[in-house]
Amino acid sequence: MSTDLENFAGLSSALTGIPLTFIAPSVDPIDLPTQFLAFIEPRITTEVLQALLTQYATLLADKVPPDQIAEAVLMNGAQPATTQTAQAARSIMKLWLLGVWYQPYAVGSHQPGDQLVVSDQAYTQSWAWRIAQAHPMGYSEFFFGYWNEVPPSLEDFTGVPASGQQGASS
Amino acid sequence: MRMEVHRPAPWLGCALFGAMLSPLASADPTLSTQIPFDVTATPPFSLTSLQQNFDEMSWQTFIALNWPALDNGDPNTGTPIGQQDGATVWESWKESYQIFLANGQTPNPWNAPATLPKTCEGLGSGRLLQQLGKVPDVLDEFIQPFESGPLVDQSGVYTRNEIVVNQPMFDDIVNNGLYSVQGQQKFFAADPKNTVAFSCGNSDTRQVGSLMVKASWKVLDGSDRRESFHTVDALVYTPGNSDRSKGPVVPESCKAEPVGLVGLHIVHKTSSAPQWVWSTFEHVDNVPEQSTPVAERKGPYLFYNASSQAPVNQPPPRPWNPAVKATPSQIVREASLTPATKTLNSTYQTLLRTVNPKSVWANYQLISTQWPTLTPQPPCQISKTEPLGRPAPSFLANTTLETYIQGTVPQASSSCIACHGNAATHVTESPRTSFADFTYLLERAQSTGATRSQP
Repeated sequence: MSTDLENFAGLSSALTGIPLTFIAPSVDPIDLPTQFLAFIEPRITTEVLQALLTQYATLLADKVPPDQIAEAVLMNGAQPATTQTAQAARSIMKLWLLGVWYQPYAVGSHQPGDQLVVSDQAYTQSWAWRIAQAHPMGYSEFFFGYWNEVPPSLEDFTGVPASGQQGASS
Repeated sequence: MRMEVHRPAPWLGCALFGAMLSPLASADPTLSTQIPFDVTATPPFSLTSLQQNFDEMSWQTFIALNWPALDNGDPNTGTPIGQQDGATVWESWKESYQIFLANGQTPNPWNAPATLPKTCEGLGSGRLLQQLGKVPDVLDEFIQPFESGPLVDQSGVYTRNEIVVNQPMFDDIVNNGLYSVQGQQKFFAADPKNTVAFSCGNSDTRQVGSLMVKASWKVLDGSDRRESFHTVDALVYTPGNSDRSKGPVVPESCKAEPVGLVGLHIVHKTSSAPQWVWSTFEHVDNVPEQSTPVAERKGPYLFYNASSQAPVNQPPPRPWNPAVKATPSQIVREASLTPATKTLNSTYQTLLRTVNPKSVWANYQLISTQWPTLTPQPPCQISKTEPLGRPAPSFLANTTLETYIQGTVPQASSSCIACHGNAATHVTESPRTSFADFTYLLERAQSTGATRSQP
């Protein structure tokens, strides 16, 4: 029986394609999964969150591959699904990629279209930077002179196999 | 010193801790002269368990480095730590002013005695203390990475600091010519792949890695209980300044005074921590915690006056002149010690008192240890994509050494690894200024005056 946090981390990995060990390292002083889970629950409602996590856990138990789990959550045949779980899932994807929460539908005082940078760490650790093989503006962990060197590969940054893409492999 | 560029492997997760860290060394609380070669990580691994392991390493290193020393600097194995106060192992190491000499001169050999400024000659043979902040000379603003201000004790006297390195690090600096600007230039010009990379501690080879110690001292006076401090007779040196554009005009001076240890950074590069392990200790009487209600801050404290209404954690107004008494600092610790660290402190303080109930070393406490949570693969190699290694805790400050930059603001508050990740060499022309392996010491290199070679 997985916890909500484990299911949320697994769902996040399936939605983004980023390996679980990168999304939720076992030793993680930043711990975005815990921060994000606590942040989104009041914004998508407990009912939608539980439906989403249950859908993920059920598919995982059935040994459905991660990309097909993402498709089942997000799509309705060839069209994007319009359910609240699908809308919430898309906002979760954007949260991981950009560190920004895009309110998917109205919940209490939270209105569709509301945008919020969740935290400084959500911003600096957001995956768009690493997918771009770059770093956030105003926050670089690289050493002096890094701008004069070829950045690490996409595979190094994301853990996603390069698959022959130019610049993606080491 | 690594003579080729780093090519670290992708991040592989914490499971490697079990494979690469030594199961041999004991982490049980003991009083030992042995400096740990690396952390001893005990499974199952978690952020909490590893923090505990690194904190234990910090205490074991603290004890080994503060062990009574023989004249040659080796630990005196016949005398237990704290039986009586005396010269310690790390106090025999090389201070930065002995390495980065005027005109980029070659440092004297490791075992050579320290040379003193002429002003200090004839005043005895005490330790030379001159720094007023984390930088070598508060009057020289050019070389300061940030100006955070001096710390003033309750008698209005500035605390003094020093930085020393152990022999492996000294040898790396000297053997590669990194003690002068021209030497650094030559090192990088020799091969474009050359990088500054000091040696790592290794449990397999039982090798102690590069170590730095930063110590802060207060001048002891009649209001201090000398018996509670580790003390040394120091030569408190103030470099002269006659250039008003660089700060207040002060005459060069040197005074023999007793000083007591109030803060101690221990920084150790190991195979599992190529971003180094950053341990920081303080005297237990330094400051109250911010979380302690004002009414319960009884003290007396060394850097806080319970009866004062002064705003806390504010640097003294400029000009900063060590020759003039200043308003005492009013300092609190912004981040409280964790319950686990307090418990570990109590364990080791109790152990130290088994040797001597009045051991001065039992009056020091670990504040915390900052360490990289990413396991290097291979060992001693820095991740290309996360070169800071995801440090834990994210922020760490010693109230005597990072007094005014405590807190949790990214890029502003004290994080040992994040700050020192910006350290660079003092080469300012071609071929390049380069990463200096988490130490600002190399920025102190001075020019020999020789014309620089062209790339």
